[in-house]
Order: sequence, then structure tokens, then C-alpha cells
Amino acid sequence: MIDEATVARDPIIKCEGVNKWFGEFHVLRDISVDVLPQEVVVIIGPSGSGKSTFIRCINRLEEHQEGKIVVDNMELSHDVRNIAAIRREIGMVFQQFNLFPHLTVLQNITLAPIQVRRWSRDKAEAKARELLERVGIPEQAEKYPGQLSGGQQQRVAIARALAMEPKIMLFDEPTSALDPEMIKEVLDVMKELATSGMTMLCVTHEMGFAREVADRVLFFDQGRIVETGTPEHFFVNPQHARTKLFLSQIL
Amino acid sequence: MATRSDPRITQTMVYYQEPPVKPPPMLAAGPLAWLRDNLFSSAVNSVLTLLVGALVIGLIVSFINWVITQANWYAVIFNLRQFMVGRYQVDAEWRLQVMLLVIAFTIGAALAAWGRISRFFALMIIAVVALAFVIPVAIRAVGVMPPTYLTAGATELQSGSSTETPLPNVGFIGQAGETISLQLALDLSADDEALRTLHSFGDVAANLLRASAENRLTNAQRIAVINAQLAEDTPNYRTLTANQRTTLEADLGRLVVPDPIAESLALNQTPINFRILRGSTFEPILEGTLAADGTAATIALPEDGWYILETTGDGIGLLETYGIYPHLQRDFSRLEELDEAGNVVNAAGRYQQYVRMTDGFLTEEIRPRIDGRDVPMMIIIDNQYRGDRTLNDYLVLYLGPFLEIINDALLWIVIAAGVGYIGLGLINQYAPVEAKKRGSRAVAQRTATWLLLALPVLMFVLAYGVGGFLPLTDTRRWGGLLLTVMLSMVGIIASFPLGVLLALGRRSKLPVVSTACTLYIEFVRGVPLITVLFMAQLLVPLVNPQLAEVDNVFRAMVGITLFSAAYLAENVRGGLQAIPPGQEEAAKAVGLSGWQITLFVTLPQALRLVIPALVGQFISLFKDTSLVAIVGLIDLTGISQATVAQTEFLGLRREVYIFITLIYFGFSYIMAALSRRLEASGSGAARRV
Amino acid sequence: MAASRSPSSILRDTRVLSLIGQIIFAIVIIAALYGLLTSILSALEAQNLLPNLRFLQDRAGFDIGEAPAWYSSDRTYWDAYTIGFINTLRVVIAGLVLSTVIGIFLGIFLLSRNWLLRNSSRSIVEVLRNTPILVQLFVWYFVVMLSLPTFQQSISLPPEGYASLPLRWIVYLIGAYLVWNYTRNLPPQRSHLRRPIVWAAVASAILAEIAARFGLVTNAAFRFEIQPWIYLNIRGLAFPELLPTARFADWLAFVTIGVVLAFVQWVYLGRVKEATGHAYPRLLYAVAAIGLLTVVGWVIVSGEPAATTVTVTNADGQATIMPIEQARADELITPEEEAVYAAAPLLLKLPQKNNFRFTQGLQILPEYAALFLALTIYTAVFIAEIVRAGILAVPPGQVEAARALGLSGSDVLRLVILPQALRVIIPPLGNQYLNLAKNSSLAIAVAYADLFQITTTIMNQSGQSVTGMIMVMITYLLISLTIAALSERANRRFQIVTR
Repeated sequence: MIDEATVARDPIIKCEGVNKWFGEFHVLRDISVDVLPQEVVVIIGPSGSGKSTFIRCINRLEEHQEGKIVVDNMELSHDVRNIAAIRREIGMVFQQFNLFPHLTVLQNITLAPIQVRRWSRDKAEAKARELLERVGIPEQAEKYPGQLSGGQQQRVAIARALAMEPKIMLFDEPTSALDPEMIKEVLDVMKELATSGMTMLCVTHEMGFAREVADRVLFFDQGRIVETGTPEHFFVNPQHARTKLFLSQIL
Repeated sequence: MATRSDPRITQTMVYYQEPPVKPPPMLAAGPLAWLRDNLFSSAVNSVLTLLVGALVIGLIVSFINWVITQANWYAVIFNLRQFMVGRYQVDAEWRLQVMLLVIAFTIGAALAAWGRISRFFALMIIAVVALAFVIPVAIRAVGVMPPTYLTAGATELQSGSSTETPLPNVGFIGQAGETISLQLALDLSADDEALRTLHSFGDVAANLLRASAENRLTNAQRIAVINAQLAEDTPNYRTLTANQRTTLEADLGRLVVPDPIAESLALNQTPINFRILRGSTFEPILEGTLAADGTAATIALPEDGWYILETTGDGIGLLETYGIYPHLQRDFSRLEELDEAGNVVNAAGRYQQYVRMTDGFLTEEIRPRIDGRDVPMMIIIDNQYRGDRTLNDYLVLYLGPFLEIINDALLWIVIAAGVGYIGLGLINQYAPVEAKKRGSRAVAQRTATWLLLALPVLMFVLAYGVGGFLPLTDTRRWGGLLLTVMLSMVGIIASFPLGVLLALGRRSKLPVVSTACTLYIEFVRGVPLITVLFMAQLLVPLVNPQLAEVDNVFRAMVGITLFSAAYLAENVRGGLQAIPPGQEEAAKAVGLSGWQITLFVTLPQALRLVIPALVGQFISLFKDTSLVAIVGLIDLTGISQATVAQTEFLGLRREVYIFITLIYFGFSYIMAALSRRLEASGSGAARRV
Repeated sequence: MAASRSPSSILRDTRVLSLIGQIIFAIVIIAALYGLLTSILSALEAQNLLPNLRFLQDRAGFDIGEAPAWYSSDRTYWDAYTIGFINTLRVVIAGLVLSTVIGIFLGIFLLSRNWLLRNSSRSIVEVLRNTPILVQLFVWYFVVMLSLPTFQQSISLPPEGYASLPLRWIVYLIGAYLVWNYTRNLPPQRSHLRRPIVWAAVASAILAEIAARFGLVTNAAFRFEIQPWIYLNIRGLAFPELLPTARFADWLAFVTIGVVLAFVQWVYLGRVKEATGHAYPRLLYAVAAIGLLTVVGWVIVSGEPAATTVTVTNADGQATIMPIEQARADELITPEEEAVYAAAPLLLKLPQKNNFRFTQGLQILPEYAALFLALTIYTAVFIAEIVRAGILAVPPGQVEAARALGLSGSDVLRLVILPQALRVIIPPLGNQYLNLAKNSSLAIAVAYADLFQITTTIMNQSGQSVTGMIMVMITYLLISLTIAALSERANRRFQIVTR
């Protein structure tokens, strides 16, 4: 999925020696990783290994305490303008969908473009309807999130993130809260997104998805990256003992 | 264990006969079963049922009995205006009437938007209104007005420490065409047994007659009882303690049985001469003599206004009169009124209104004077209802007049509510289809929401006025229910922005802000409202001398607002805390800034969550406004205290408290019920994830 | 961390921004407060009423209806303030206890299976919680208290007079016990006899009553005089006083030993039960230990030789010791003082009245009674709702699970329902206690001499109104904080640990 032209480009996300603690607990230990534009990175690992925390640091939902994260040439610091700018570049999809229950599907999607990007309502709504078409639920625009199924809600959440026209998408276990028959509809949307050239960071347990779509797989354990590689390498020939153990337990 | 070869297992059975469907046994369903399950499920329960049942029935019966025979509702009926609006300016009263209609209209509209009126409910309401009109007419047609008993003659009456002489003349008000009739009350003057049964309006002397007959008879009876008790108590077989014995003996020494009252006074034995005079001209319109043969005199009054009944006689007579009833004197002051030509229509200064208790007939004619003195009049203080009231008298004197006072208002309220209900229904029906995308009643709901939001503003503007459009009213004259509603409404609305800010402040990540807000909230929640009200009364003039002009109502509003804001803040904070953290994260992830997150994401959800709590707070604020009575405002509670201090209604606390309790309860209960329904129906629950 | 540190980037730093925001906020608040304070102070200064605390040492000059004997109008404002505080505490603490008890019962009534009981309690609760407490207070005071009978015609409880207990009632009791004992031990094959026997016993008792009516059975009875314990009249309520005598301390020592014994065996036998599974009747033992030592102590202490001398203080403050007889003869000791030398460690002084006043026993004024009742009942109604909600909050599955484990009814209540219900009950209960304490300030409406009422008097007399209000507010705040802290502690004990 990476063509030659993009390989030459600079990484869009650069992490150097990122460290983070929750109180005394060292959650992230010296994470250094670069993500190239249009790359699809899948992060796997046992629960509590720090993978969610890591991607939440990338759009500063969590603050890292040491190290350096640079997104699209902007460093994540205490600078308000940088934070706002970086968040505009990054879309995020949550495990629990986190749709705004008091707003309709359409309002959920248009809220940020209107308030942050200062688009006109017509433009935002046109964009929203286009995105709903893209995720396959154009007919649900006037409904409230509570009236939708889990899979539909997650697709709305993806549309909401895409409405800001982000360069990067973060997925935090997007299918974990879904019933099995709904997982596929969400994964299909994500695959479509990946083939369209979006830079994606996915925390997921869907190994099928990782194998099919990922350019690179990161394996987290106890707050550090234990192993990284292409899916072929990773699933066929894992090196580290922990990776082997993890894969043997879930596959 | 059965083996596989056991024929009971291996045998094939087919049942072709279908068992019949039977009704359950008697005690498994139906009213009897309900009784058994709910009232007599066990021995203990049965005993409990009987005990509680006896208590409840006893209480209800004695309450109804009290209402009919004892309660004096004039304190409520004749102060109804004060209870509702206090001393609100009469010339601006139409604004309150409009306000009532607007409220009713909005309630109707809200029902059309969210509720549904079943046909049964609608019929019930129509029936209630119809009854409010039919019952007074029916009572008039069937009921009989009770007589008024007046004494006449020259004999001085004495009983115990009180002495009374019949009044030689007494002024009363009457309406043109009314029939006045007089005769001696011969059936009452027969003996003391008859005299004690006197029950109706009567002057002080008549009541003295009744009371002394009553006293004589009860004393005689009591003496008999004490003697019997003392006789039963012998030194060998004590039934009384030493203490009781001394008390009884002391009682015995105190009790006196005078001579029979009716006989010794020769009540109604001598003829009584009388004249009825026009109060304005003193011209007699009827004169005659009432004698023990039962002669009666009757006359139809020629015009509205004052009349004087003049009586003379040697002995003492008890007159049974019809058409003469006690009245109430009201004092007013007014400004000079001119007509277009500049002539004086109404002179400035104080003037009196005389209102008849029994039917509200009202005259402003000046009270007649004899020999430079106001004529004694049939005023309610001296001519109260004496003795136990009968059901007829209760209906004729209280229920009928009361319904006549309120039924017009009731009709208008129902009409306004009906217009609101039907009007909004029509708007919704004819609204364009695309406007109803979000629900069949979306248009009605949006309209009703706007109406509800506008209602408080409209109410305040109507009651207070707005510069250049409606003249401002004097808030010092606000009172009663109006003041109670205004205080609680302004309190909750004005405290709303403050409370939301405090809640956001307390949750702020900035330590200085959150500490300051927390301190304020906890301080206010830790002190009683009455201290805050006192503080507001004290401090407002001190803050700025110009504010000394601000009257008590606004000071109380300031106090209530500051107080209420702290509680509101805690409610809102509860709502904010209940929102999952994911909401804020998602909002950050799409790039919203801090205030945008609060305004568009967290606050709308939090406010929706806390609506029931806010209604609860409104209810408690509604109740708490009664404390302003302590700082001297005349809200519903203050008015009731003022009413029972008037000479006319002295000590009628039970009736007044029952009345205001009903009002407070009615309001709070309806609000609480609405809030419960709101919670149960889960307004917007379908929208929640 | 930031790569470039230009001045503009410092101004964009979230940490700097939040600091600036807070400073501005603090400045605005302080400026507003300062402005308010200076204008208030200058206005007060103009009236020569600058707040200070010196006036507290001035002579109060007013009497207090409900005050201990040491208070007179010559005492200071501070003394009056203290009495107000004590009076507030008196009504609040008594109110807390009784409202909790009534609230619990009412809450259980609200859940009763009996339709009538449930719905009549529901009506009471709805009416009381939807009307202002001030109106309720007025009703209690002006309608209930002030329509009580006059002093001479006090209601007495139990009613004064002679009571008789007919001998045949005692026979019925014995008979009932015998029947119960016999039918309880009936062997199963004869259990069908139980009903006829009970009915026969009931029928014979009814027959005996009818016969007694006609004089066929003796009407002989035990008779005894009843001395009322409570008098109720328009001046308040009189009730018995427990008066400790000089020997009280000795007796208390016995009782303490009993309590300690009871406690020790409770703990010890509890351990035994846990270790061996053998359950002893601990409650019975505890009651027995305390009861026995109480009685034995009473007998021993009252048996001590009586004191023969008393200490008498004459007008000069000089104390002399003289024989009781002599002191009594010279009327140097009052009957109340003499009671101190009685044989019993504790004297029960029933209220006694003459024609004008009560001569012994404790009394409460109608103002206190009205305030106490209004606060208690109003709060109890809210507590009832809380208790009801708390019990309903325990999922029915919990009870079913406990039953399925074989726990008995009381164990289900004690071990499963209560601990879970309490968790829900305690936080709002603490809130209600707070409300009760704050509502006690309504005392002013019925002129009960509580903190707030006395302070308003002080304010009117001394002119120090702002100081007075601030003192009152701070005192109420302290009371509130104490209650809040206590309920928070209770709350922490009962919270269920979850993830």
C-alpha cells in the first residue's frame, strides 16, 4: 500500500523517547517510533500494556512527561495553538463511540466543522451527508445516536472524525464494544479508509484486519514496544518470546 | 433410580381430552382476593388494617364534621384577594388576570405537545366547571337562608362576669327587593333546653342567652356526675385518688346552677315594638309590634343601602329575623377621580365598603349616624354564627358563595387552557411535513418549549411592568400567592446562570477558581436561608446608600437568588459528573476548544440530566419562600399571619392554615408529579447511548 | 520542551495561560469583595457601628424564657449567645434522634404489604413534604400547642385514678400459656386437635366474661392507684426526672462492671462461635449480666448505712457539718437537698403539681415542643422516603440469593439488605440532618430562644447587626460542617469497594 513516492517523505508522526507515568506507575517507557504519511500502523498487545495511552498521547488526550512527539512538523507542547492545530489534523475513533447523545447524527458530524473550521452550515451538512454515504448509512442522518445500533454508531463516529478532513486517524479498539455481527461493517469502512491512503494508527484485537490492511504492526507489552514489523513477519515469524506467547494465546 | 426398562418411562401416552378452561377459585382473583392479599393476608395484618382503618375513618369523619359544623371560612372567603395577590394595585389587576390566562394557555399548549388529554379527563374537567356553576344555583334553589337572632327590650342580661343590654337600634345593609321578616323566636324561648339549641347568626346578647342556658344545663349535669362519682368513692373502696377528690370537690363548690334562664327573664313574654328606617333619610318604611302570639312582619326593601332596625319593649325579646345579615367593613383610601369634564367623580380620601358576609352584596353608602354617633351595625365581630352549624347552613353560607366567587375564574382558566391545547394541536397538524421529521409532534414541542421559556419573562413583565409600555407596579404591595410565585420564579431563574457558572467553576482545573467557587457553595449550603435573607435585608442598603431605596421584595429576591445558586450549582455539578469522560475526550479529539466543549457537549447533556433535580429544587424553593414572612413580607404565609390578627377573623388559624396548606401542597404536588412523569418517561432516554 | 521560546509562544503556553487566568480571576474577586467591604464598613462607620466583638462583654439586659438558672439579664451578651447555641443544640440533637426513629418506621410503612397502612402513610408523607415547614411550625404551635387544655385541666398520662386488674384476667393469661405450651408439643398424629383446643379456650374466656357481667363469676381485682408520668397543658409538657443521689456513683460502678462483662462475653463467645461454630445465646447472657449487676448493685448500695450528717452552707458561705435531724428541724436544708441523702442511688421524681405550677419533674415549654415536633416530623418524612428508596435499591435478586443460601429472615435483613441499603441511605440522610439543623433557625417564628432568635435580640439591643449575623452564620456553618464530617465518616464505612 505504500508507493515509492511516499516512502521518501518525512514521517508525519515522530515519537522520541516518550515516557509517561500514572502516579508511580510507568505506563510508557521510551517509546520511539515514526509513522509515515499514508501508512497504516496496527498496535497490538495485552491489556494494560499502554497501547491506548500511547495513541491518546498523540492527540494530547493524555500528556506525556518526557520525550518528544511531533505531528506534521508541530511539536506537542503546552502551546495552546499547537494543541488546537494538531487536534484539527488528527481524527479519533473510540471504543465506546462517544457520540454526543443530545445531538442528531447530522449535528454530531457538523458540530466541529462549523465551530472549529468555521464552515457554513450548508457546506458542513453537504460534507456530512457525503461522509454518511461513504460509511453506508445516509438514511440515518436525522436520528439520535440512541436510536442506532452499535455498528451504525461507530460508523457515525468515523464519519464525525473524517468531517474535519484529518490527515491522521487514530482508532482506539473501535470494534471491542460491538456485537460480532456488527464488527464486519465497521472493519469494512476502516479498510476502505486505509485503501484511500489515510494515515491510520489502530489499536485493535482484530488480527484479520491487521494481517490484511496493516503496513506495520507494533507489539506493546508493559509500556514498551517489544517488536515491530510487517504483518507477514509478525504473524508468520515472530521473534520475541513475549510476542510468541501473546500470539499463541489469541490465535 | 428408575431403570430404562421401567414401563412408567417407556410407555407412550397420548392425551386427546383437552382439560376445560376454568375461572380461578373465588379467592384467587377478583375483589375478595384483592382484599385478602392487601388487607388481611395475616393475623397481624388484619389487626393492623382494622386499627388503621378505624383511625383513618375516625379522622376523616371528625374532620368533615368540623368543616361543616364548626369551621369559619369567612377568613378565607373574604380575604381571597389578599391571599392571591396581596394589596396589588386594583387598577393593574387586569394584568394578573391576563397572566393567569397566559399560564393556563401555556399549560394547555404543553399538554398538547407532550401529554395527551383523554376523553374521560376532558369530560371530568368540563363536569367540574359545570358543577361549580350548577351547585350554587342548586343550593340557592333548595337551601334555606338561616335566620339572624337579635335581642330587643330593656332588660339587662347577665351571665357570669358578662353583662349585655339589647341594642335599641342596629344598622344593616340590604338590596332592593329583598324581603325582611321579623317575628319572636317563640320555639327557642320555650325553655332552656330549646334555648341552648340556638344555632345561627346572633348578636352578642342572643349568644349570652344561649350560653347561659347551655351553662345552666351542663352545670346541672356536671354536678350530678360529680355527686355520683363522689358517692361511689367510699373509704373502703376507693375509686378516686385524694388529688382527684379534692379537685372534684373544688369543682362542685364552684359550679352554680342559676334559675332557668328563659322563665326567669320572661323571654318573649312582653310585646316588642319595632321600626325599620331608611338609613339615608330615617324615614320609617315599616313599623309594628311583635307579640307572643306569633305575629310576623314582612317588608320588601325599596332600594340598595343602609337600613336601621329600631326596637323598644319593656321585657326582653329574642327576634328571629330573615334578610338581616352581618357584614364586614373594609377601609380604603383613594385618589381623587375626575371625569372628562373635570368634575369630581370620587372624592379623595378614605372611604368604606360594607360587604355582606352571606352573599358578598356590597355598598359604599355612608353609614348612618344618630345623635352624632355611628349607628351600631350588624358587624361580623359581634354577630357571628353561634352554635353548631347544620349542613344546610354550611352549603348556603359557605360552599355556594365560595363557588360563586371562583367559578368565573375557573371557567376562564379552562377555556384558555383548552384554546392552548387545541390551538397547538392545529398548528402541529397543518405544519409542513419536513418540519416534523424528528417526530410527529416536533412542531408542537418546539412551539411549547418557546412558550414555556417565554412564560416566566412574560409573567414578570405583566406583574411588574416594563418601562415605557406598562407602568411599573409597587412591589411593596405585592403579596399572597403572587409574591410567593414571583419570589420562587425569579429565584430559580436568576440563580440559574450563577449556579451554572459556579458549577463549572467548581469543576474547573484552575485551583484558584475551583477553590473560590467551592468556598462560596459550601458556605451558602452550610447556613440557613433565614440568615441569608436577614443578611440581604441588612447589607443591601449598606453596600450603596442608593440601594436603600430598593424595597424588601427585591432584597429578598437577591437573598433567595444567592442562596439558590449554591444549591443549583451542586445539582448541575451532579449532572456534569454523570456525563461519561468519553464525551469530553471525543469533543477534544474533533478539535473543539474548552468553552466550545462546555457549551455544545457537556452542559446541554448535564442540564437535561438534572431537570428532575431542578424541579425538586424549585419545589423546595417554592416552600422556602415562606421564610420571607419572617423578614416582614406578606407572602402566602405572611398574609395568613396577618389575616388571623384582624379583629374580624381573630384566631381563625385552622381554616387559614388549611387553605394555604392546600395551595402549597397543590402546587408542589403537581410539580413533583410532573417531574416524576418526566423521569419515568425518560425524556430523551431514547437519545442516550 | 517547546522548540522555540519566543515571547508569543510563552503567551500561548497552556500553563502560563491558566496562571494568568487565575490571577485575573483572583484580582476580580478580591477587588469586588474589597469594594463591597469598604462600602459596607464606611456605611457602618458613618453610623458608628463598626463591627467589633467588644460589645459581647456588655450587659445583656434581657431575660430568656428557656435558660439555665445561672442566667439573668445581668449576664453578658456572650452568655446569652452561648445559651442560644445550647438551646439550638438541644432541639437539633433531640430532633436528629427522634426523626431518624420515626423516619425508619414510616419508611417501612411505605413499603408495607398492607394496602391501607401503605397508602395512609403515603398520603401523610406527601402532604407533609409538600408544605413549607414554617406553616407546619405555625400549625404545631398556634393550633396544636395553644389549644391544649389549661394548667388546671392538664391531660395526664396515664390518666390519674385507680386502675383495676380483674383476677380472672390473670387466670386467662395462665390458661393461655398452658394452652400454648400444650398445643405446641402435640405429636403430629394429634395435631388436628390444636384448633378445637384453642377455640375452646377462647370460647370459655368469652363465656367467663359474660358470666362476670351478671355477677356469676367473681369481679375481684387487684387495684392500684395510678400516678401520672406526663402532664400536658398549654404551658407545655411535664415529665419525670431521674435524680441521682450521693450514692449514684457507687451504683454506677456496678452497672459499668455489668456492661464490661456483657461486652467481654460478647466478644469472647463471638470468637468461640467463629472458631467452633457453636452458638451461645450471647444476647441473653449480655442482658443477664447487665441486669444482674444492676439489681445486685442497687440492693447493696441502698443497704449502705445512711448518712447522718449533712454539710450546710450559711449565708456567709461558711460550711458546717451537722446531723440531718438538726438541719431538718432548723429548716436549713430543702426537701430537694435532702433527697441527695436518700438510700436509693437514683430517685424517680414524677411530676407533681399544685394549683398553679409544677413542684417537681422536668418541663418543656410549648415553644420548644412545637419546634421540636415540626422539625422532627418534617425531617422524618424525608427520611422515610430515603429509607424506602434505600431498601428498594437492594436488587430483589440479593434477597433471593440470600434465601437460596438458607439464611433466615432476620439474617437476610441484617447481613444482606441492611448493609447494602445503608450505603444508599447514608449520604442523603446526612443531608437531611443538615437541613434539620439549619431549619432549627425557624425557632424565631415561635419565639423559642435559639441561637438565631437570641442573636436578633442582641442585634436589636446592641446595634451590632452585621457582627451578629456573621457570628450566627459562622456558628451554623460549624454545626453544618460537623454534621457533614460525621456523615462522611459513616459514609466511608459503608461504601462498597468496587473497581
